[in-house]
Amino acid sequence: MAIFPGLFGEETSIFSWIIQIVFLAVILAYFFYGQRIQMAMWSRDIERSLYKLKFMKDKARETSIKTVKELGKPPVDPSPRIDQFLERFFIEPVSMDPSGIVWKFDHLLDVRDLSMKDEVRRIAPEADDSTLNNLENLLEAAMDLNLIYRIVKHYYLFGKRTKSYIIIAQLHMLLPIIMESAAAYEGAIQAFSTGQPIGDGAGPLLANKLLRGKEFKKIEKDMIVGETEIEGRKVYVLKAEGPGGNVGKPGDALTILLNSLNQRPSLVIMVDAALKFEGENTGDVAEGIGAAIGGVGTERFKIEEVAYKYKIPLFAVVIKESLKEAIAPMKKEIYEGVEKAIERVKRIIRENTKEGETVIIAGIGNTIGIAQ
Amino acid sequence: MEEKKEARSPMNLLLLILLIIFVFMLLGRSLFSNAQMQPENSTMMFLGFLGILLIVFALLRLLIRVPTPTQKITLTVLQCTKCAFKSIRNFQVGDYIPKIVGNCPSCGGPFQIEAIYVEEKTQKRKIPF
Repeated sequence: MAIFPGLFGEETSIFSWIIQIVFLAVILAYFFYGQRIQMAMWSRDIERSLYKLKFMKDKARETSIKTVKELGKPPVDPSPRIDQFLERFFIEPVSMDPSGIVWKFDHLLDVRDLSMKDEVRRIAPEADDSTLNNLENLLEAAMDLNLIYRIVKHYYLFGKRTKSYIIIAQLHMLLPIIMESAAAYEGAIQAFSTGQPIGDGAGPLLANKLLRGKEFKKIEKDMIVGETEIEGRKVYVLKAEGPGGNVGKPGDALTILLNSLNQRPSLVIMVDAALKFEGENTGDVAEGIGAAIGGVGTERFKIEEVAYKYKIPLFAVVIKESLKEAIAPMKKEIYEGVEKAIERVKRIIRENTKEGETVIIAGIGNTIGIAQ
Repeated sequence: MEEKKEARSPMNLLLLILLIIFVFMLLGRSLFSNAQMQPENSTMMFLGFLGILLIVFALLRLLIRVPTPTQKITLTVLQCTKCAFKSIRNFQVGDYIPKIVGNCPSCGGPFQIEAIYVEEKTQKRKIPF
C-alpha cells in the first residue's frame, strides 16, 4: 500500500497528510486535465509570440507611414490608404487544369505589380521612380508582416474557441519557423526604408561589377542589358534596373535578348542568392546546372523554355545565405561571396567556351541600392 | 546597434531563493531530527532531493541564458576609380552602388561607392561537426 514509507501509514502527521493529498491531487489533475494544461502552456507561448508579431507589424506600419510622408510628400495623411494597402491580397489562378497556368499566373502578377505601383504613386506623388520601387517593396514587407500576424491570430483564436488541441499544437510547432520569417521581414523594413542593398542583391551586384564603365540599355520592363568582354569572350550581362527595389522580369529579358542576337550564345550563367542549409557558411559559393531563380516559377519556366528552344547550356552559380539574410541589409560575408562568385563565373566561362564565343550572364535578385 | 537580452525577471529569482530555503528546511528537519527515522522524515527527504534537482535545473537555465549582444553597423565603402584609394564611412540615406560621391582625397579622381554592407560584431559559436 505504501508508495513511500509513511504515506497512508498509521503514524502520519498533518504535514504528511497535506503532502499526500497535494501529491494525489496533482496526479489526478494531470490525469484528467493533462491535455488542457498542455494546451494552456502552448497557448501562453503563442500569445507571447502574437504580442511580438503585433509589435513588429505596428512598427512596420509606422515606418511605412513615416517613410511615405518623408519621401512621397503626400498632400493628405496617407495612413488610411496605407492601411487599405496592407490588407491587399492576391488570388492565385486555379490549378485544376494546369495547362497554360504559367501565363495566367504571369498575367495576374503583372496586373498585381502594376496596380501596386499605381497605388504607391497615388500615396506618394512626389517620389521618383527609384524611390517608388523602394516604397513599394517597403509596403509589401509591411503587408507580409500584417498577413503573418492575421493568420497566426486567426488560428490561435479559432483553436481556443473550438478548444482544438490539434490546431493549437500545430500552431505551436510551427511558431519557430513563423517567427523567423517575421524577423526576416522586420529586417527588410529597415533596408527598404533606407534603400540599402539586401542579401538577395548578390546577383545584381555581380552584374554591376561586371558592367562598371560599360554601356547598357533597357531591354525589357525594369531590366537592362550591358556588353562586356571576359578573356576574349563577348559577354552580355542582364540585371534588374536599379537602384530602386526591383527584381524585373529576367525570363522576358532573356527571351528578347536571345531572339535578337545573331550569334547563338554558348552558355547562359545565372547568378542568384540561394538558401543555405543550417550550419553552412553565409557567402559560400556553389555551382550547378539549371535556372537559378526564385519566385513563383513563371520566370524560371520562361528561362527553361527559351534555353531549351535554342539548346543553350544553363549554368547556375549561387551565393549561400539564409532567408533572413536574403531580405535583410546585405552582410559583409555576402559581399565577399560576390567577389568569389565573379572568379567562379570566369572559371566556368574559361572551361566551357572558346575565345570569340558569346556568353550571357544574368544577375538575379532584388537590385535595391545597386544601380547599373 | 541592436542588443539582444534575455529577460530575467526578479520574480524568478525570488522563487528560486524561496525554493532553496524550503528545501533546506525540509532536509534540515529530516536529517537533523533528534527522533529516529520517522516515515514523515523520509517523505521530507524525498521532497528535499526533488527540490535540489529543481534548483540545479533552474541554475543551469540561468547559466545558459547569457546575453549575447550583437552590434550591427552599416558601412559604405568608397573607392577611387583611378588610384583605388579606399575609405570607409557609415551608410547615409541616398547611398547606392556605384554612386559617385565627390573626388578622391588622394588623386582627385572620381570617388565611387564600391560596397554597402552590414558588419556584425558578434562572436559566433563554431559548430564542431
